[in-house]
Amino acid sequence: MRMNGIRHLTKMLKVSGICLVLLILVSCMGQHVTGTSQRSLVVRTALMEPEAMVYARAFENRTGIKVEVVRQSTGVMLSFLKFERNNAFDTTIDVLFGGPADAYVIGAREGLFEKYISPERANIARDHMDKDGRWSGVYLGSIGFAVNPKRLKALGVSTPTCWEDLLSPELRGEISMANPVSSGTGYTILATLAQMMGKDQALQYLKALDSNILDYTGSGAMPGKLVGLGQIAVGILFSHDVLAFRQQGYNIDLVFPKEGTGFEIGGIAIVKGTKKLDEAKKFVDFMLSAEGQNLYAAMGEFRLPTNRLAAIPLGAVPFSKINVIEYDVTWAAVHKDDLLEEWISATGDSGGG
Amino acid sequence: MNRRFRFPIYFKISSAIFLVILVVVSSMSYVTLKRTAHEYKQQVRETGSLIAGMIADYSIEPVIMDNYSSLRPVLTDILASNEDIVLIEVLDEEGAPRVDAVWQGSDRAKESPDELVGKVIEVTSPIIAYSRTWGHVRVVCSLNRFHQAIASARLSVLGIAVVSCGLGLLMASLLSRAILTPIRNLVDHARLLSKGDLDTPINVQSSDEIGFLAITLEGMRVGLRRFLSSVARRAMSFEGDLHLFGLPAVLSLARTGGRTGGLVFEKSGEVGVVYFQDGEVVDAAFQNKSGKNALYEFFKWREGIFKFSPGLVPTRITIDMDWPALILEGARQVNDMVVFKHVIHSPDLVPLSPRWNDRIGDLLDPNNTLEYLLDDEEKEVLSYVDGVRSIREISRLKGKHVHEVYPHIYRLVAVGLVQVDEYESSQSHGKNLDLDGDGSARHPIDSGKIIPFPMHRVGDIGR
Repeated sequence: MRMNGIRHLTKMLKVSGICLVLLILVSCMGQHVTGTSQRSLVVRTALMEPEAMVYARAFENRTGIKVEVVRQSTGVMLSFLKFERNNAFDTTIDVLFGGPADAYVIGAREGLFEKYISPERANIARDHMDKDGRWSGVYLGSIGFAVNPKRLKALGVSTPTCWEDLLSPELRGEISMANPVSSGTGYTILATLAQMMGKDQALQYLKALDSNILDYTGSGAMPGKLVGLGQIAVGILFSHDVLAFRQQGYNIDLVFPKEGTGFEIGGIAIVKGTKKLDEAKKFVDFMLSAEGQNLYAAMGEFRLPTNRLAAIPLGAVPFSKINVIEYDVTWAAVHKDDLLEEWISATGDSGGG
Repeated sequence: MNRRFRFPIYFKISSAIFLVILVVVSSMSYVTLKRTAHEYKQQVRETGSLIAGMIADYSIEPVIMDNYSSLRPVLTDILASNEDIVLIEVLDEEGAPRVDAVWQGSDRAKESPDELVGKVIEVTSPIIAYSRTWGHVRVVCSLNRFHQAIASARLSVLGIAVVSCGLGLLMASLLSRAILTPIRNLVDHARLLSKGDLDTPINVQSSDEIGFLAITLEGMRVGLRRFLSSVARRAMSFEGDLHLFGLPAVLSLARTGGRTGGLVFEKSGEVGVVYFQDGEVVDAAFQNKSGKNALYEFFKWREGIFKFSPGLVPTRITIDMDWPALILEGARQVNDMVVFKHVIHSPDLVPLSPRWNDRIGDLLDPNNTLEYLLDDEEKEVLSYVDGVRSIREISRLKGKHVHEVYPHIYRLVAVGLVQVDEYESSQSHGKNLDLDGDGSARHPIDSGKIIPFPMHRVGDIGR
């Protein structure tokens, strides 16, 4: 009996340990492959789950195609796809949806995506998509600061308005941003600063900022919620996520740094080797269409649509109103490995989930 | 025989030892089982909290961001690989399950909460991050398999107990039988010995103390047999003078004890034999005569000696007659006073009837009377025998000379209906039996003067 119990425990530990480690390192290895013809269209998204579910349900209602949504940070999604390809597994993912485009650029270069020239691309700016059709942009979003005025007041700190303000010692342990290793948001911040300040200065800045950072989160939007809940004073994240939290009632303000800020092109791509190519194409068509992107406004989200015909959500901040740098997605993709390595050595944080 | 069945001592001892072992083993099993159950539950609880803790650690972001879909593959795997976990769910700060954050394992989770009471162990682990509790992970572990295992272990213990009980009883009975069978054999042999059977060898094969006892007993049997056979040889090969005993008495003596052998008579160089087979006269040989004729010759002998030889075994049957008839007929051949006087030493002797003695046996039985063999005169003489009258008085009553009564008395004595001992009539000594003066003569036996055959005082007999 006792041996059985011990074996049990060991087995449990093993299973759960393996699962968690795999999940942390290469995302969920244990994704069950249901019959390919029976299973739903599997969409991995960097969007927050409740939001992504809305688009998925809308697509389902329109096409009758069942969609299974799994939320994952962009870096993790990409790692998992590489893991599947390197081990010659049949892919369990059909579509990658959302998350900064530099990851999509890397995925396209590594041949992880199907080429698909959606008819909807006609209404999308050329800069916001891969010219070969390996990925396309579904939304745009700029980086901003989420601040909790109540907490700032309690700390006796004025609202930060530039990147330099974040280095104030009074904000020690009061700032959070996504981990650049795992999160597309985090890497967009890193790449933005590198493009804006120059690589070395950016790393120096981030090293200095590291002492004020409470935690590098896995999800890009999470710092916003932590700010909203009053756990921290400042979060660095995409402005549309900040506005979404504000919309949900959190006590949160959006601030754009004076020096300038970067932005993301939220990408969408069909995973190479998918058994659901037709359904995947339909989903891509839907999310690139004005009808699909109109959902941003309809659902009270603040993403900027890439489709010219889609409505700009009320309250969203268009790029024209803020100091947006010329963010080079390709540069960000090309230098990703080096930048991350240097960031890790600068901050001593290897990141994680 | 209404003997109560008694358990053999070895059976009792074995059973007692076995019961003690059974009780000890059962109680040890019970205690061990209980402790194991406790430890098992403890381990399930620890495992549950470990899993809950790990999930809680991993769930910070999903809980904060409501992104539970990323947990699904991990939890699905944990649930699939472990039957014991029936439910994993994320609870909010108030302890209510979060929407889309409930994962069920096996079908057992679908039982109603009431049904699950006592069947599950619940473990919750707080989800703590940024100095705040965000909720809890609740892991519900089923104890079904544990209960099944405990039940089957109990069954096994019971089974083993029952089997060992059976085996123990079997072994005990085999053991006791192995020990008791030679003892019973010995007892049987000893019983045979006590009945006088010295011929059956005591053959108990055993190398232990019982074998030793058997050998000793066998030695005793052999010794006893040797001793008794020497005694018996002496006893059975009796010899004597016809003049002293009289032929009827000699034949009677040879007949008693169911002897087999030859009674040899010898008189001045003439030899004859009467053969006995199991106490019955079956053959006789004298000169050129055989059978009854040879036998009757010996009745006429006035003198001679006799000797019984067990070695002279009869080889044929020439005489096939009932003993009384044979003897009576033989006695009727005699008409010689000398021979009569071998038996009747004096006319003053008082003939007694053994009928007076209750212990004499079949003569007393009116249905088995020998009187039908008697002729009228013999019957008449017998009727005068009352234990009081002497032969002389009987002849007087009969109105005959005493010598004329002798043959009848002789025949009655020969056939055993009358006994003539050396006790004389009290009257012949001039003593009046009617001592009390009431005119009624007292019976000589009652008076204690006559000791009837077979040499017991009458007073002793009734005791």
